[in-house]
Amino acid sequence: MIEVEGLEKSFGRRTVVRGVTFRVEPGEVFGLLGPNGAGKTTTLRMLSTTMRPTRGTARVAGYDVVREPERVRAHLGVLPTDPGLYGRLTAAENLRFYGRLCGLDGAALERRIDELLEWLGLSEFKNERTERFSKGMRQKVALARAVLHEPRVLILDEPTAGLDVLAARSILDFIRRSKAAGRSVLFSSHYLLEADRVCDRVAILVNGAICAMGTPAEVCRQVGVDNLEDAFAYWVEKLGASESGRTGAKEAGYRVG
Amino acid sequence: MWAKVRAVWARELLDTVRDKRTLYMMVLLPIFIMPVVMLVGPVVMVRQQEALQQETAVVAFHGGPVPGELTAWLEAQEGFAVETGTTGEDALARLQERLEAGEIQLIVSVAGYAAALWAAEEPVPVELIYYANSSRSSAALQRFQALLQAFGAQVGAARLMERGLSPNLVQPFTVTGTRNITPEEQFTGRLLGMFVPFFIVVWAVMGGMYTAIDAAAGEKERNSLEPLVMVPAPTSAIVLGKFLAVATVTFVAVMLLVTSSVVSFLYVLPQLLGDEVLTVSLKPGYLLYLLAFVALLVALTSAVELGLSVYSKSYREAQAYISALVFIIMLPSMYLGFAEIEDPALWTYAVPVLNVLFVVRHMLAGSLPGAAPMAIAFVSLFIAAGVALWGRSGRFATSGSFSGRSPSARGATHAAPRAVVAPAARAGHLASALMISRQNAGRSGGVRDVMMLPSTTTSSSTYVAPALMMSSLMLDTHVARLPLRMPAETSTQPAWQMAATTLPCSYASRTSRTMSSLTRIRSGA
Repeated sequence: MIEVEGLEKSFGRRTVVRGVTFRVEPGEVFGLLGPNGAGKTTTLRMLSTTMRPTRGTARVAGYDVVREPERVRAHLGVLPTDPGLYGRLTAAENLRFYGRLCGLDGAALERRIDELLEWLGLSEFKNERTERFSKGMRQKVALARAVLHEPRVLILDEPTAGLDVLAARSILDFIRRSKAAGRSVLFSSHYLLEADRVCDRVAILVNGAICAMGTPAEVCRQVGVDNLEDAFAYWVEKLGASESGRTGAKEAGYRVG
Repeated sequence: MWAKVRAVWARELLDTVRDKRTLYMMVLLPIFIMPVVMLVGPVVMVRQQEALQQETAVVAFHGGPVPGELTAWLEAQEGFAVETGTTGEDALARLQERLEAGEIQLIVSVAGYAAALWAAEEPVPVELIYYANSSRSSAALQRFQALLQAFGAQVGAARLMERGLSPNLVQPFTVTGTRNITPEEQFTGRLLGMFVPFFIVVWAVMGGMYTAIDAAAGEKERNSLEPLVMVPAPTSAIVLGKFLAVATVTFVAVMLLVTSSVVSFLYVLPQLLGDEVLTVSLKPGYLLYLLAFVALLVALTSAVELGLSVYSKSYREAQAYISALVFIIMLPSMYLGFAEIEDPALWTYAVPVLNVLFVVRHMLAGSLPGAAPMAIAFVSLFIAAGVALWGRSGRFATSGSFSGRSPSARGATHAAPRAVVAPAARAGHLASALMISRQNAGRSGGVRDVMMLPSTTTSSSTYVAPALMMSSLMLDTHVARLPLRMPAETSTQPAWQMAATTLPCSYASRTSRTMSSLTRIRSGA
């Protein structure tokens, strides 16, 4: 499970994430939705211990991300934006390497690798170098890498970005199965249709702050629209408008000076 | 912990073995190409010398008449053909043309009264004209001089005997022979000592170059650093594994190179030249020392290379840094290759790299440099490698943790390197300000009148190389730094700097009283 409270991150004077608070229960799929640059990736990176929050606390699987990063990592599977596989290594070798770093070894590790590749439909490519893989195949190997050590929490950063329909489907299928296995899944996306389909709850993040949170139906009802896309557009336009208004003021100021 | 170190080590090695470039650097180049390069020079030279010895050189006499005894004697010698019978300036010019064309190899110019001098038993002046660009002509000159000497001695002896005197009168000494007491092992060791230390040192950088680049800069470039730092393993284990992998590759490459160059020098070269096989006696004990020193040197260079790689943002940047390192490390070995330093001062053994060169050279010559220098060298290398490795693991952690994405965090984590870099950079600016300003000035028309050097705005750059101030994981936005000192006109003048356009101040005071008190006139604003 994930507990986030008042999480903030600023780079210099620019605040990217402003006081984000939410919870993801075991067996729940939580979607973090937002336009580009809303602070989704930053939030996920703070939760996956690769970035230090400026303020606020976050606990993943019961451990504090700042004070016990190694324990957090032991119970957390992350799929970063880029698969980042070793191209000269085969799929199995990639997974074996990460498995050993997670403390697995021997027959147990081999079994786990076979099982995951089978599950993701990559068994026949087990011993092929990943540099020859398609984007979807690479993403699947990265997914297998994320769940190799059976983490209780899964964080996926735009898992379906740039994939074709079938590949995206199998990723969403994977999320559903993870949910069935009792994992907490937190993922970011800007495809609202898929979020609507797999998420138990969603949060809309605009300019680094959560403006709406709840089940997709609740979020829609809140602003009186009948689908998530309209709700999303509503919030982005509303909050984005003030932003563009400020830019306009800035331009006017230049002209006077 | 060790299982994780091993996992990282094994993966790096596997990646290295599958990479053609590293294989080339590690195996192909050291085993085949370097020995070939080393053998080609001597073999070609010796062969050419041999060929020259057997060739017939044409010697043309000019002037004269030349004493018949000389030409007759020369023709009796092997490898000489004689031309005679030309006199006059034109003939000499023609002969010189033929000499340049390579038709003849040597011109012997004899004075017209040579016969009279010969008859009077006086020294006959002879001028030898040769063409230094042609090795045949040079060889002919040498041989001719030796023959002339021998002929002279023969004639001299005959003349003395005619007068009833012993030729020994003019020969107070006889050299009966020369003997070289250098043991053959030491001699070949000395020859090897010119090549092997150089190879060791250079290959200690080149051998593991691609593995080092791949291990850190490469991880960044293929975005695999993020998943790697997210595994539940301590950063130190990852860094250690990578370091060991680079060191392993480098060590193997160095050893392959040393073995193959020793073999080719000791066995292949003598066989090509038809000599007997040279021998070198490297005692087993020395071999252990050699391995230990190479291992330490490799540890040092691997740690430094990995550090440079961690520092760099991209593959190419790392490659540039490491190539520079090769040249830096080559300097002392080049120097040693030419300089004959028998007994270096004790402190030189404390200098990493240099001490390896000294120790290896000593060993190949069949002796050890003594306990104190050895101990100093060992300890100094050990400390240097340790410091390099320790410093690098720290850097890896900061660059891996993504904290560098925030400008404030960047300031904190990079404060130390910047504190070191900034004064050095400033000193560099002062030294090269003039040259930089010339370069900059050329772009917009001439040196500016109002420019003060060193200028921080127009002549020297305020740009700091991104690798020195940014995390490698930052987005590519370069930000110009605010200069430390700013000229007053920066705020009022455009960036291209206007030159003062009005008359000088003294002029102004004479032509216009009201203007004289205005100091602003000087700036032209």
